[in-house]
Amino acid sequence: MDLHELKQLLEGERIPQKDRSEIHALLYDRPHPVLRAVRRQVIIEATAWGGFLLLVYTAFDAHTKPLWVGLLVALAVSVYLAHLMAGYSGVVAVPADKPLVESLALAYARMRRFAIRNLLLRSLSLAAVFFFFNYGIDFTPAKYGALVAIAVVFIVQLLINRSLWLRRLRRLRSAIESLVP
Amino acid sequence: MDAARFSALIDQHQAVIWRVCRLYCSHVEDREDLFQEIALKLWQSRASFRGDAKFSTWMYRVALNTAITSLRRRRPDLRYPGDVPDLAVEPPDDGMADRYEKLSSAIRLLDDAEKALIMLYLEGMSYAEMAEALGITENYIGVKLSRIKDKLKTIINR
Repeated sequence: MDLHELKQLLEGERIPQKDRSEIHALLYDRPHPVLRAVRRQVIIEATAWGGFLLLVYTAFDAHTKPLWVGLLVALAVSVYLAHLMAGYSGVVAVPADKPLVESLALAYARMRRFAIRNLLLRSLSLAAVFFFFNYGIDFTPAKYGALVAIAVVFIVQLLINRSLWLRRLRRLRSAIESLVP
Repeated sequence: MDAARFSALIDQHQAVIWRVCRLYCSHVEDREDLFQEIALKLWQSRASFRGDAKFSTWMYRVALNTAITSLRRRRPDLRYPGDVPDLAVEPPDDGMADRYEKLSSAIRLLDDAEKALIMLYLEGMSYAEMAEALGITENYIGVKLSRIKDKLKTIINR
């Protein structure tokens, strides 16, 4: 089959139909699907970090640490979550009415900036948590073991995050390269 | 353009959006999300529709831009042989149905930009319209199409 035959067959393709009220609801009533997912992630992370700090304060004598150390963690995590929401909104708002090559280049630049900031702020928030654990502790071999385990979890998280962004960026760059002679 | 008129235009040309969703997403729920993303982007970009081009051409440009730059989760393509677009007209024979399936699967293996180009070609756009939508020269459109056709042949014959 050549592309001409395919074209003829596709002209008869059955397409799903949305009525006007559904289209209207998509435009006005339902939040953007990507931002919906990000909002969910922010809520889950905020709850998880909140619960974690509460647990640490009540179960692990963290109340003996100065308040500013706890506040530092809360601040670092809050800044990261706020950046997540704002950053995704910014990338989603990239104009799509320009020719493809131009839009892709713009999206790539914006996504790259966001990815760098994302990884940096994520690292800083995890470093703040790590500092919180280390602060004022009398280290024993068991505590060293726990710290190493936490560090490994954090590093793995960062590596997964990094590879996700690299994959997205590589995909965009390859689309741009494919269109530029 | 007011919301009611815009919804009516989207309704009239929604096949364009569905085709882009089908090309870039294999899962039904992902297609629904991408449909909404494209519809929202069209609404945000409505001021850029000048009226001197066809509405469907402008829609293709915005829809393809959105599909490729979207931050949505991308799941692996899990379509299986036999899972082909629903055709209103049955292919005249089994051989043709088989060739159709092979070609459709091969198109799904192209990269994002190649898919965009082949889609515009299948929509019957002229080289000039494609060049305008993609931002590359007409000559290069010809070169790219020829390479994509070769690539499709290689994929099908391997």
